[in-house]
Amino acid sequence: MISSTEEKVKLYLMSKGMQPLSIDETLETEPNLSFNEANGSKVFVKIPSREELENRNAILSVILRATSFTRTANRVYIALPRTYAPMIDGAIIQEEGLGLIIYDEKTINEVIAPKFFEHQASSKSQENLDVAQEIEQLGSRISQLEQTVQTLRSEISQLKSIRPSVETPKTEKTETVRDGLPAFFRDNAWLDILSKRGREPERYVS
Amino acid sequence: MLAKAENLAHTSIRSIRLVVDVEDVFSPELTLEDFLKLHGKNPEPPKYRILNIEVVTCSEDNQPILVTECGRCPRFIRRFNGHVSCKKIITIE
Repeated sequence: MISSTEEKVKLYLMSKGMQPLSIDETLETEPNLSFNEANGSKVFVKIPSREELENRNAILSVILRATSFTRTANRVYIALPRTYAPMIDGAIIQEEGLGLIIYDEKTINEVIAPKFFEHQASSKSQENLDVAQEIEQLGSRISQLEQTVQTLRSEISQLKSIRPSVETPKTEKTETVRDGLPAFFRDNAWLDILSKRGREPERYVS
Repeated sequence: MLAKAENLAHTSIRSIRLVVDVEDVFSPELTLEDFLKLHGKNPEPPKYRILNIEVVTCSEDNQPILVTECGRCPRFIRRFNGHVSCKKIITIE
């Protein structure tokens, strides 16, 4: 249920060009009002209830809790009744980056402007950092792979240079050939000697 | 002919710490400085209690008032850095 104070603050901020938004219920502590500015930034407003304004410490507690909204919203306001406003030094609110709206039955005024918290830019810069880290990791992995490929290439070339020339034995083939030959060729030791003739290096006897 | 202009007034807040004897109602209330001068010791509870009273001089009628009373004034704007800021109406002849 929207109270008259909430309605009053809502109308005041709408007159400043803000568009009301539905409140994100997933937040731990919900603001009373949520707005969208023309430039797309999000504005939260915390309106403490009478129970939350019992004494000075209670008001300080509300301020501390409202600072958590700065993680989600770009601007955060606290709306205090005029009678409670002199209890708290506005410098405390300003140091936290919050804005202050003071209201009574007749008037409503923004007396401290809130600080702008850049969330989108920060999230983008974080994304950029992540991408840069990923690229760096990929680059190092590629250089490692290049080194491995280079090592393998050199090893292969070394192996090629030291590989002995392997000749296929032709004894079986000769055997098969012999099968079709006459019987005096079988188990003839001269056939091997004569078949190697001409392939062996010439030996000169001095 | 009288003309009225609106200006801002920044009045500094004065904090007065008063020592109250809660066991003797006839004991005079002293400021903390006077109590220390008179008794030569700190006001220890539960006999003594220190109250902090914040006062300002109203920019409109120059009368001393409590800072909390400023909240009832329509000219009050804000309390900031130990000062009370409020609207001051200047009459120009």
